[in-house]
Amino acid sequence: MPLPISDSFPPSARSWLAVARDGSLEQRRELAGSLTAVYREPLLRYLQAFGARLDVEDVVQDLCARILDPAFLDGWQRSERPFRLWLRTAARFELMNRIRAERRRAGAADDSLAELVESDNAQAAFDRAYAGSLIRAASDAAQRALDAQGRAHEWTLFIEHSLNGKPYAECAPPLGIPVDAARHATARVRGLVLDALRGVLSAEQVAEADVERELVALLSYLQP
Amino acid sequence: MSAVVPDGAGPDDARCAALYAALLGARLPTDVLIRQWMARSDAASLVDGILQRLPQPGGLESIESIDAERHGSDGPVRAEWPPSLRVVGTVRYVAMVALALHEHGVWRSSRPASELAPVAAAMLPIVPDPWRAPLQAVLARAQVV
Repeated sequence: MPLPISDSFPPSARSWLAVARDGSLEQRRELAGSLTAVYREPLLRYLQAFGARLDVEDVVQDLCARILDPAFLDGWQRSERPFRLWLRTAARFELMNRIRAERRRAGAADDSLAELVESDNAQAAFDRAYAGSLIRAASDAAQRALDAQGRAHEWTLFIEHSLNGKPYAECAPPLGIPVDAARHATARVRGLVLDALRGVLSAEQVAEADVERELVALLSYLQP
Repeated sequence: MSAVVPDGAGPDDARCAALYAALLGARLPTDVLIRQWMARSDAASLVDGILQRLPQPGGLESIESIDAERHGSDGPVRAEWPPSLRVVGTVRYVAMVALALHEHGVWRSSRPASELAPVAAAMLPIVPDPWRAPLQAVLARAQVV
């Protein structure tokens, strides 16, 4: 049975698993690319915070290449943990393994890796980057959906009104949107972004009733 | 405005935060909105404009008249107002607190310091000299009493 990927991508965690197991090569590639867009940067920031003398980009690259490995995803499902925490732990273990291997090659004793204790800075760097990556990915998905519907100007309206604080009377007419319809257009854009976010949030074990609280938490990661 | 821009946070972080704030809309706590809004490039000019309209210390307009405006039907901070107006209202409110502290040394308020402090911090670098001490007092007080 075909497994369509919607424009409100990334889809739900249940769809991830279906695509990982039975999806076509193209579907798997698209899904892996979307997940990597969300999680690659936070993983990089996280590993960089450990200050290890290793190519952390290589570690993250390898992890992203395995992101749709059914065995990897099964392990995550069994853990019942949010996906990002599962990935973060996997990245840390991979980094430790590489450091041990490096030490063995250099003839050093494989003793304590105390310097790899996860610091608050590492977690904060991860959370901040995750919050940024997630909203960028959701915004991109919403813009693609609007482009496909010939409604790209509604994204501009959303930005002008909701981010730049311009009143509808000022920003809607130049975009060819009647002022009366502007509120509905903005609500439609907001709904598209939220739909895109929900796909990832479901994998992060965020219940529908808790989405608003989660958005406040994500916003707080980006605050001083 | 550097006082309210976090270390290591770039303009892209500010834009991402603004997107989350836009999704949450009026349901966002005012202090979070203010921190978010203060990162905008035009925040300094707006705060400056607000200060120009407020009575200066020792001026003719009394704090009572400003307070009457605050408590009137069009008071400056109302939860149902759009986020941008809530921010403007709170900036005005902090200015009023600073003025009252300057003129009378006392201000009674139930507003939490966490809400007022970021605005006061943002105003400090751009206000005229007479405003600095009272704004620093706003920042220093855990509770504005």
